[in-house]
Amino acid sequence: MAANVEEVERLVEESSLIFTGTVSKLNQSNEPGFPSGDRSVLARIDGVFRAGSALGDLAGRSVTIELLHGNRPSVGDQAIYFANGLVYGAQIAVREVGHLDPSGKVEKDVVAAIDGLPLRHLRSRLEGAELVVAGTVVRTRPSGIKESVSFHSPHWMVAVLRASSALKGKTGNGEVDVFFPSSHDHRWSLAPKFHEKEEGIFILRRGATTQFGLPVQAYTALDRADFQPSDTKARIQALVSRKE
Amino acid sequence: MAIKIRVVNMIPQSVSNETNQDSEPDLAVHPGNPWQLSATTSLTPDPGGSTFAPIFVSRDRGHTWTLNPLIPGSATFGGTTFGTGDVTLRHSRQELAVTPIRADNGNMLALRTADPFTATSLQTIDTVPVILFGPDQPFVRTMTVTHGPDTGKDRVYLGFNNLNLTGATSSIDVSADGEASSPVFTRVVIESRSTGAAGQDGPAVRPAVHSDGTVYAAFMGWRAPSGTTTDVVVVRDDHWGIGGTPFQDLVDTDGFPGLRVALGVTNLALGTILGAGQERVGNDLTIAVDPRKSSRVFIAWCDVQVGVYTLHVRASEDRGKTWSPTDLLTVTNVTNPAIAINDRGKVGLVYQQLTTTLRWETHVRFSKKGAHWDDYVLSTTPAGVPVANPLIGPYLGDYEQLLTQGTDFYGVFCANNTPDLANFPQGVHYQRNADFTTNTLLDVTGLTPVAISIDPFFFHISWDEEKEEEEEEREHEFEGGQLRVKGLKYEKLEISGMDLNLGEDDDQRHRRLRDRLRHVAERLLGDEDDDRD
Repeated sequence: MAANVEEVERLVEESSLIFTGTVSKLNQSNEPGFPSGDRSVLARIDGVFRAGSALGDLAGRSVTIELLHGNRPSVGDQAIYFANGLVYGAQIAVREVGHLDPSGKVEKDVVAAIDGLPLRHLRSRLEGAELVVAGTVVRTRPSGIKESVSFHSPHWMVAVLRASSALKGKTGNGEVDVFFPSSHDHRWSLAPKFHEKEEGIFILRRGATTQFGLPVQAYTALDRADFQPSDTKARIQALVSRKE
Repeated sequence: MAIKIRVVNMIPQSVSNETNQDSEPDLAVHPGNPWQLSATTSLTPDPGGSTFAPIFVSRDRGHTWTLNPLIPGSATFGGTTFGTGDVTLRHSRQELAVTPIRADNGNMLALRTADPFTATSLQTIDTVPVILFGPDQPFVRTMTVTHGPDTGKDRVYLGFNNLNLTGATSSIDVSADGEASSPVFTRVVIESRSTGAAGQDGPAVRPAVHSDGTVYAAFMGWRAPSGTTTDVVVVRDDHWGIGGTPFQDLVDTDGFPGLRVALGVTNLALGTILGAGQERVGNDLTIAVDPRKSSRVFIAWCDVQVGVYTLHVRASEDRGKTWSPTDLLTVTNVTNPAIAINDRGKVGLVYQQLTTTLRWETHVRFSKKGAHWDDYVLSTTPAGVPVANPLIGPYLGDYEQLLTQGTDFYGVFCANNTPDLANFPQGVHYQRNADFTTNTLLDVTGLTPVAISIDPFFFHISWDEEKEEEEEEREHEFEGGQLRVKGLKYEKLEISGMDLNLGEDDDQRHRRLRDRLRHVAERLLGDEDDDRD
């Protein structure tokens, strides 16, 4: 199956496991927790584009694939499989999201799509941001927000930014208050934590509600991509200007 | 000994490379088939890296486990994925109910599936969104009604701390018919007193359901900020919690619903790390009702006594109106208690204790009446290894679980996963690759060492029934027209108020007669002022 770049990107977005595999047996499963049927095949994994590190090196191993309806490969057929995990037991069973013929061009497109995931994610953060500034954290201070007490309380702090330039939006007097969760609970673990003298590019958005006690219209940067190193300024400017 | 204990590391072989802090476990046993088990931990991600956290499932009574990624809402970025966050689950006879807090947006969901082994997704039947600070620590309980006009319906109880409110926050979402295509949930705030300067209750809301429709719930009624002063409160409903004034059937002397088992006790501020154990505490609470009779209830909680974090166990025999005036069991430096009662009234308690030698010991204890407790150590591991992941809150977890099915007990706990039999006095079986000679975890190839981390462990406890009955009967024997109780002879025995159904087979009749004699013997033992169980 040939595919354009957009289709490859969609398959990559929807799959956590991407590998080249050769069908070795039809209507089979090697994982006791997943029954064999007319839509299950065993495949030898020839190469891995993406897989969770907890699974180790999958190359050379057999995996059970629950095929998409209508996909009927023969023994010996090789394809690039896009899949998600179904059952992890003694062996692994996955569900097909799609598959493509393993040509050199397609493989390059898959690699490019995977490598491009952080960039696409950054683009989406920039598109949804109200303010993007290059600047420095001049100080941090307690937020003063009275929070409910739970293991998952955010423990809001405020990072006071001095903006050296605005890449998107306007900063007013050049200082911006950014609320960030200082909690290390897993709920907030992917949100950047800011420190005095920290420099970089801050991608900020404001909320419309008082969720988690935040003031309405408070600036936050809650995604790991919302803080970028200073040396990415030119690139981010280009992304904001849609020149990249 | 008649007891059989089996401990299993739940990480499957295909995930042998994993090094996650897989903490905060929960367990569900199918009430009609104890071979079917489901479990979760709050922090185990999909090994493949998707945003669906897994349910652990077993078809063979916990000997082997697989991971099925089904629970939406994991947080992921750049190859780092965490599990969904707080999550509990329960089997009714018809469905598995799962209640996670989504890590990506903080919403609480109630999800269900008829079959977690073959499910490809879970159906959402209730959502509690974040409006203010959102829902916290969901604890689901279910019960299929077995008699009366609602036979076959699933009652569902989602206990949680509703931090979208201020003041009284301990809440339960109740559904009278969780099996319906679109179940209706009614929210009940079970805290009836002022929380004062605390402004909220504690995270733990623990329902316990009896098949006769009695529902208890225990919660920490905070009376000072961060729970440093708290009441331990038990509410009760006699009609499944679905009447006009739910959870108001147990009234305390102050006139408010909810009996204060412990009044104004001192506790550690929520989230305090216990000693050098890397484990956050301040929220330890568990309750269980005797499946034989809803009047008998056991509760356990932790608070501070003379500066020491202390576990207390108390019991009620009169539907929660009065409780044992002193502890039936007291243990120091303990967290994650979970209590359960089996079909014979035997009480089981699991907890994790930080020892003076800085080890986490997981204990399971049993008692028939609460006075004497057997003690078995399931695991003993160094409290400082591994070093807690700074990106994750719970080290071992904010709770663990103990359940019963018939006379057997089933549970889950989390611990350091070093493959060392010295760490597991009752033995252990690993699915993931491990070398017990070199005490090394190995990767999926079986060749490369893998770093030590925190894993969930399942345990199953049963008794050799014949031997247990023999041991019980040595305490009291009925022979030749005489009842012997601890060597004393009673020559005449009248059994009144006992109907013998002529349709019963001999085994049933014999069992009923023996149970009745056992009851008589227990009463006699009690009259003799002997506190042996």
